[in-house]
Amino acid sequence: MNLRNVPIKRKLVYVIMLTSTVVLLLTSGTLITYELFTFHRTILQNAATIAQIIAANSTSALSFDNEKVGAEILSKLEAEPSIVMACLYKKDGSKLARYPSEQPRSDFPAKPGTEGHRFEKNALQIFLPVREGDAWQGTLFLKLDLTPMYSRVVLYGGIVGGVMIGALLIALALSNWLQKGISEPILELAETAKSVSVNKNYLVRARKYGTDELGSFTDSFNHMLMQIHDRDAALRQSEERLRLTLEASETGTWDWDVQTGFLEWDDFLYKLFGRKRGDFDGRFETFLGYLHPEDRAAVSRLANRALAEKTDFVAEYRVLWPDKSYHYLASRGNALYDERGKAVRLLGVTLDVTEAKEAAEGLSLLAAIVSSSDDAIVGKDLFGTIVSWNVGAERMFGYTAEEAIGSKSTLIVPQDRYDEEVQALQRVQQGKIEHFETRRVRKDGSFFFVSITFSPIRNAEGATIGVSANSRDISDRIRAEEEIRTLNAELEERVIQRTAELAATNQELEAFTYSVSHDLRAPLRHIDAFAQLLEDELKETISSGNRRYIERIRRGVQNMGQLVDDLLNLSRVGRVEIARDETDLNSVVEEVVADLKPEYESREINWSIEALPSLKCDPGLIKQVFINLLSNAVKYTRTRPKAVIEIGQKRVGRELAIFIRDNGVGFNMKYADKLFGVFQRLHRAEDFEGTGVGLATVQRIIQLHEGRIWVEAELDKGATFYFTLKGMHPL
Amino acid sequence: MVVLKQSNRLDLRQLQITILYWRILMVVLLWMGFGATARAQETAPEYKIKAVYLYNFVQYVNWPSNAFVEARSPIVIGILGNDPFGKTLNETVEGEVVKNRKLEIRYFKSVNEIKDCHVLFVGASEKDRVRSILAAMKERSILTVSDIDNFTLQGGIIRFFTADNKIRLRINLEAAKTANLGISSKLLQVAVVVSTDPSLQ
Amino acid sequence: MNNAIEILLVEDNPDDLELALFALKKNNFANRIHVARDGEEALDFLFCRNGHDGRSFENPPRVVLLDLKLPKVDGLEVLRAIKQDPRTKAVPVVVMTSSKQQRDMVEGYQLGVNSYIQKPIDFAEFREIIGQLGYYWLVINQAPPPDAFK
Repeated sequence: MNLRNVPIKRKLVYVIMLTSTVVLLLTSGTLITYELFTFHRTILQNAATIAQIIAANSTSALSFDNEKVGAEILSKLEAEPSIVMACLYKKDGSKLARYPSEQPRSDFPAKPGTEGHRFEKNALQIFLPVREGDAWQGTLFLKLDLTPMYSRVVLYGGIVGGVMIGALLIALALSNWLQKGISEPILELAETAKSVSVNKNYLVRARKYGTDELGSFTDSFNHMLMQIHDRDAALRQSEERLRLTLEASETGTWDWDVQTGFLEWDDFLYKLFGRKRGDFDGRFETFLGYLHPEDRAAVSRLANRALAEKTDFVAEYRVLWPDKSYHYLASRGNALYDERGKAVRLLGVTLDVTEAKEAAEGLSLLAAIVSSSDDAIVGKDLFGTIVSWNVGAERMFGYTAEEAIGSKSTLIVPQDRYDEEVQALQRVQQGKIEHFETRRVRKDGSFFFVSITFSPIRNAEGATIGVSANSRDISDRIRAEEEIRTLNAELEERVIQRTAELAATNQELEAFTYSVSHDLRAPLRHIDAFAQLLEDELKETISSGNRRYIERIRRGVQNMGQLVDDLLNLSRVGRVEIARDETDLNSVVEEVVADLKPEYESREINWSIEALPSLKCDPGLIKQVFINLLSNAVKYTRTRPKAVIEIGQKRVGRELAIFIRDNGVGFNMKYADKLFGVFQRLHRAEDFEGTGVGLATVQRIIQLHEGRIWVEAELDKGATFYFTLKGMHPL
Repeated sequence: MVVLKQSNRLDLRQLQITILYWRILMVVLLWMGFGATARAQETAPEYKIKAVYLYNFVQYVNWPSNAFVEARSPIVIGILGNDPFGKTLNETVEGEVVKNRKLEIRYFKSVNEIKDCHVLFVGASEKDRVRSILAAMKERSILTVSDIDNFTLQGGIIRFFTADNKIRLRINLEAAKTANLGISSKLLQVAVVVSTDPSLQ
Repeated sequence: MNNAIEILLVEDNPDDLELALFALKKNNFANRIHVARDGEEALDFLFCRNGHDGRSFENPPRVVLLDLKLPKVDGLEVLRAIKQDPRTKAVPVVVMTSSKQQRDMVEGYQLGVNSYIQKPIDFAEFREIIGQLGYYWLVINQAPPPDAFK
C-alpha cells in the first residue's frame, strides 16, 4: 500500500496514531524506570538511616557483651515492619543479639559480611560496622523484605499500561474527529463557490469552521463576496440617500439651462415658493417676479456675476407667497461650463431661512443688552475658553474683547483661585447655578474682589454647552468688611487685656483679704485678752466706772471683729464661683430659723412659712441670704411685743419672687436706695447694732444668681424684702 | 621398643599408622606441656574480658580537660595492688588511640604513688583498704574500678560483678559526679546504677 | 514617760504665745509644754534633730497646737511635713489660727489636720476652747500606740 495514494482522512489518522504511540511508550518507559530507581534509592536511604541509628545505640551493648540490651535495642525495629531480620555481631563474629529473637540462629548469616548493602530477590541486606568513636565494636546486619513494595511497582506498571491503552483509544477517536476539521471546510467552500457562480447570489456565505488557515481562506472568500454585494448596493443607496437628505433638510433643488433660459424646479422648491406644481412657467423673469421688489435686482446681478466670474452663486432674498406673506430664502449654486469655458447650466439648492433670520434679530437685541451692562458678562465654552466678552468686562478687566476671546478663562483668575474656578465650572456643567465671591486680576496685574454668578448656557435640547459668568466689582464692600473685622479684633484684644488686668487686680485683692483676715483679727484678740486680764487682775479694787471702760473696750473690739468678718465675707462672695445644686428652699429656711433660735429665745415670734420652690442654686450662698434677711427681721421686730415674720412666694410679672415680711420698725422708703450699699445703715447703732455689710452681701449673692432684690417698707409698719433667682418660675 | 622391633617385620602400612600415632602423641604432649607452662603465667579468662572492658570504659567516659597535663597527654590506666591482668591489658591497649590520646598503663603499689592517673583498677589485695583509697581519690577525676565486694557502695565508681556467667557492671553515678566525670548514657544502658546513699539501696 | 512632752505649741507672736500659755496654765495643762517659735524649730523638735537628737520618734507630743502664719516655714508646710512622714504621721495636729480662710481650711483638711480652730476674739471664749482642747486630747483621746510611729 503506497502511503501517497491513501485518502487524506486516513493519512491524518495514521500520523496522529503513530506519534501518540511513540510518545506514550517513551513517557511510560521513562516514568517506570525513574520510579524504580527512586524507589530503590528511598528504601536504601531509609534502611541506612535506621541502621545508623541502631548501630549508634548498640555500641555499649557490644562493648560490654550485653545481649539483653542488644536484644532490647533490636526489638525497637518492630516499629518498622519492612525490616524482617536484624542481628548484632560481636568482634569475633559470634551473634550478640537477633531480631526477631524467636527466629532460629541458623537463618541469619553465620558470619558478618563486608560493609555495604546488597539487593537480593525481594530483599535488601545491609552490613554496617558498629563504632564507638573510632573503635570498632562489632557489626549490625539488617534485612528488609521488599515483596510488598515490588508488588506495588508491578501494580503501578499495570496502571501505566492500562492508561496507555486508554490514551491510544482516545487518540484514535480524537484523530477521527479532528481530521473532519480539515476535510469538511474544504468541501463546504467548493459547494459555496458553485452556488455563487450558478445563482449570482452574493449574499451566500461559506461556513467558517475556525480561525486557522482554512478559516482565513473562508474569510477572504466571504469578504470578496461581500465587497461585490456592497458595491452593488452602494450605488443604489447613494441615489436614495441624496433624495432623502434633500427631503429631510427641506431643501429644494433647481437647474437653470443658461442657453435656453429654462429654470426647472423640483417638488420641494414649489413648496418653498408657496406654489403648486405647474404654476411656474420656468422663465427666469417669472422667478424674479415672485421676489420682494427690493431683492430682484440683487439676485439677478448675483446670478450674472457668478456666471461671469465663475464663482459660487450665493443669494438671500424675500419671496412673496400668494397669501401675501414674506419668506426668507437662501440659494447656493454652481455653474457647469462647456469645453470652451462657457457656462451651460447653473445648478443649486434653496433653503427657507426665515426662522434663522428672526432668531438672529432676537439675538442682536440680547447682545445689545449684554454689551450695555455694567456687569462683566463673559461666556465660556465647556473647556473654559472665553467665547464672548462684553463692554462691562472690558472696563472691569482691562482686556478688549479681541484680546480676551479665545483665551482661557484663567486670564483673569489669580493663580490661588484656579481650583475654585475649576470646581465652580464643573458644578455649572452639572446644571447648577453658582454664586460666590472671589478675587480677580486685571490686565495691569492689580487684584480686586468680585461677586460672581456662573450659570449654564443650554442649547435647544437643554444640554449645557457653555457657561455664562456675570461678575460685579465688590472691592468697596470687602474693604468695609475688612475695617469692621480689624475693629472687632482690636476690641477683642482690649477685652482680653482688660480681663487680664481684672484678674491681676482680683488676685491682689485676694492676697489683701487673706492678709487682713489673719493680721487684722490678731491685734483685736490681743486687745480683748489683755483688757480681760487687766480686769481680772484689778478685781475688787477696780471702780465701777473703770470696769465700764474696760467693757466698752471689749465691746468695741467685738464690733470690730464682726465688721472684719462681714467685710471678708462680702469680698469672698464677690470672688467665688457659684456651685449650682438642686436646693429645697424650705429646708434652708428651716435650718436658718433653727440656727437663729438663740437670738429670739426669750421672745414671742409668730413664724409663718409658706411652701417654697426647689431650684438649682448655690445652697451655701442662699443660706447666707436667708441668715441675713431673717436675722434682720428678728432684729427689727425686737420692739414688738408680738412679732410676725412671714416667708412666702409671690408672682411678680412673669417671675416668682420670694418675700420675707416683718411687722418691725420699718423705714422711710426715701432711703430705700441706700439700703444695699456697704456701711449704709438706716438706724442708730445704739438702737439696732449692725455693721451695714449684710445687705450688701445679700445683694451680691442675688446678683450672682442673676436675680433681683428690692424692698417695700413703711416707717413703723414693717418691711418686706423680695428677691428673685434665675430659673425660679411660677409653678 | 617392642613396637620398633615389630616394625622391622611388619609392612609399610603398619609403619605409617605407627608414625601417625607418634605424631598424635607428640602433638598432645606438646600441647599439654605448653599449656602447663602457660597456665602458670596465663591470665584467667575472666580478667581477659575485664581488661577489654577497662579499655572500653575509656571510650564511654569523658574527663574534664584539667585532668590532663597537656592537650596530648596520654590517658593513664593504673593498677593498684596485685595485677590480675598480666600481659593481656598491655596487649589490649598497645598502640590504641582514644579521643586523640595514647593509652598508657602504670602500676602502683600504694596510694601515694598515684600522681597522673585516669582509670584506676583497685586489685583484690587492697580489699581492706578500699575506704582509705577512695577517700584519697575523692574529687580527683579518676574513674575507680574494682571487683571487690561493696566497692560502689563505699564510693567507688564502677564494680564488676558476675551474673548468669556474665561480667556485669555496677555504676555509682554520684561518685562519678563527685569526680567530675561524664559517663555516657550508653554505658549506663548496660550497667546497674547504684547509689552510695544506703537509703536508696 | 512621765517627763515626756505632752503639748508642742508652735506660735511666733509673743502676745499670742503669752495668752495661749496663760490659758493652758489656767486649765492646768501647764506641765510639759514645749514652745517652738517658728516652723523650723517645730520640725527640728518633731524630727529629733538639731539639738533634739536625744528625743525619739516613739515619744512624740500628745498634741501639736499649730499657728498658720509662721516665719521661715509656714504652718501648712509644717503640717505637710508631719503628715507626709510615716514616723510623724500619727501625731495629732490642731491648727489654731486667727482666720477661717476657706483656702487654708481646705488645704489643712486635705493635708490631714486633726482639728481646725479659729481663735475667737473673745478671750473668755478662747480660754474655754483651750480648756476643752486640752481635756479632749490629753484626757479623753487615746494616744496613738508606739506601732503607729513606724
